[in-house]
This record gives sequence, C-alpha cells and structure tokens, in this order.
Amino acid sequence: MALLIKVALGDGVAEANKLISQSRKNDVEAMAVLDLVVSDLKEEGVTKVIEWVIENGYAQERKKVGDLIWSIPENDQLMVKYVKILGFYGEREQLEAVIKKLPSGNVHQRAKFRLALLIAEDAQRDLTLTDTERAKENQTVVNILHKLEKEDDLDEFLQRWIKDLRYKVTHLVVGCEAPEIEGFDQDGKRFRLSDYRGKVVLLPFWGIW
Amino acid sequence: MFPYERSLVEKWEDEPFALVGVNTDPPERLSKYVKNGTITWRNFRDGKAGGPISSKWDIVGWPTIYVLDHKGIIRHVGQLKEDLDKTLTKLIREAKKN
Repeated sequence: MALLIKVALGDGVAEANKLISQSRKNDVEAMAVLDLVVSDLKEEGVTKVIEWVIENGYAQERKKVGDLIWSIPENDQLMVKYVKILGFYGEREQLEAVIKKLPSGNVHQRAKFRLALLIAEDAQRDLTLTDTERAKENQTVVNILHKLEKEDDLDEFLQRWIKDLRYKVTHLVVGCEAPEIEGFDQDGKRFRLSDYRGKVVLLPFWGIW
Repeated sequence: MFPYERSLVEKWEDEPFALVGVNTDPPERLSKYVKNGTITWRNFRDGKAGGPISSKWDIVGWPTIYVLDHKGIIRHVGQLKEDLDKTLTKLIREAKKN
C-alpha cells in the first residue's frame, strides 16, 4: 500500500534509502530517489542519498543536484564528490557555476582544477581542432593552473595534480617535442627515443598481461 | 596477436618509419613473444603497468599511442585500436620531403 501522507520529517530520506538498497536488483530511477528527499535536505542521512544520486544519475539528475546541494548542511565532502563527477562527465557549465558561487576554498580550488583537466582532455580528444586551436586550449589550461597555484591553502593532492597536469599540457600534447626516453630494449641494449629522429615513430604503450 | 602492428612494420620497412614500443610486461614475457615472432619491433622495457617511463608520460590507459614526426614532435595521441594508416602515410611523406 502506498504511503500517501508523510507522518514525520525524514520519511523521504528513509524511503530514498530503501529504494537505493534495492538498486542492485531493480532499476531504480535516480530522479525518483532525488524527488523523495528534496524537502528533507536538512535531515540526517540525506548526504548519503545525494551521494548515491551523484554516482548513479544522469545529466538531468546532476543538474538538479546542482540546484539543491547548496541547501545541505556540512556538504564539503559531498561537494568534492560532486565536482569530481562533473569533471568526469564533462559538465563544464556546472563546474563554472560552482567556481562562481564559491569564490574560495578547497571545493572552489578542486572545481577549478577539474575544469582545467576537462579542457585539457577535450582538447586532446577533439580531432577536429587545428593545431593552433588545440594550442590555444592548452594555453587556457596553463593559465587556469597558474592562477590556481597562487591561491592559499592548496591541499597536497591539488599541488601534485597541478604539477602533473601542467607537465602534461606543456610536454605531452600534440605540438610538443616528445620527452626523451632512455632505457633498455628486449635484448638488454641501451637506447634512446631520440635515436629515431628523422623517422616517423609510432610509440605505443602496451602490454600483454 | 598484433597482426596490425606487424603489418605496419613490414609495409614501411624501407621508409622513414619505426614502431618503438614501451612494454609493460615482465622482461621474460616480452622476450618469449619476441622469440616466437609475435613481436617484430623494438621496445623499451618498462617492467610493469605504471613503470617509470609510463609514469613520466602520464599513461593512465593501455594501450595508448603517440605518433611523433621526423623531428620528434608529437603529432597524434590516441588508442591503438584505430586505423593509423592515413596519419602515418601523411607524416612519412613529410619526412621524405625534408
């Protein structure tokens, strides 16, 4: 029998958790789960529900989460997860919205980094870009990272990610001179990648495992 | 295994082209496949996924491919599954002009 009237606050959260627990066996719509908690955003346990929606939802759910996530108390960890997923799914506008809405702090910084990473990945993947266009995108990435690293209280992850991404967009993208490789071949003979200057080189990173 | 790679090596044997791999298998396994003729190109031994060379090149998915022109400039980054004939033919023509 369907429950028509909510008898107490927090029922939405309980109902949502019940749905989530069934999601392995049945198709559970993320939007339906989200709808259950929209009026219970201050209730205990809501963070777990939203986290599930972020991980299992599609674009429309992410958009709705973007509207209501601000009303959830102590949402720092949730925001970190949210911006990570936004980056993963290429939700550029929403990342920019977070950056604007939170003008400083760890979540702001992480959103900025995710945006830079997203632009870098798009530039690398988009085969329709000319070399000049791609170089321009990579420069945008470098500029974002440059500003970001001047901000206060960057955590150790961000510091490392910034360093790695900058190295990548300045050394490992189309248009860069390939970094030198020096090592041993299958016969134990030492050689260098630059030994092959003058030839076109197909360089696969591969393994059989 | 690897018929496409072997065909590239064979096809452009006399052209300014080289297939140079960065291999993440243990050395014994790589040697075995070289001996039995499966692998017909030279490889850097990187030892394991996430070895020192792969880390430096920030490789997070395998197989990832880079294509370098005759000056050592990166001209393409992608996956080994794709057809590379067109890209490589164009770059080989460039190399021969210089």
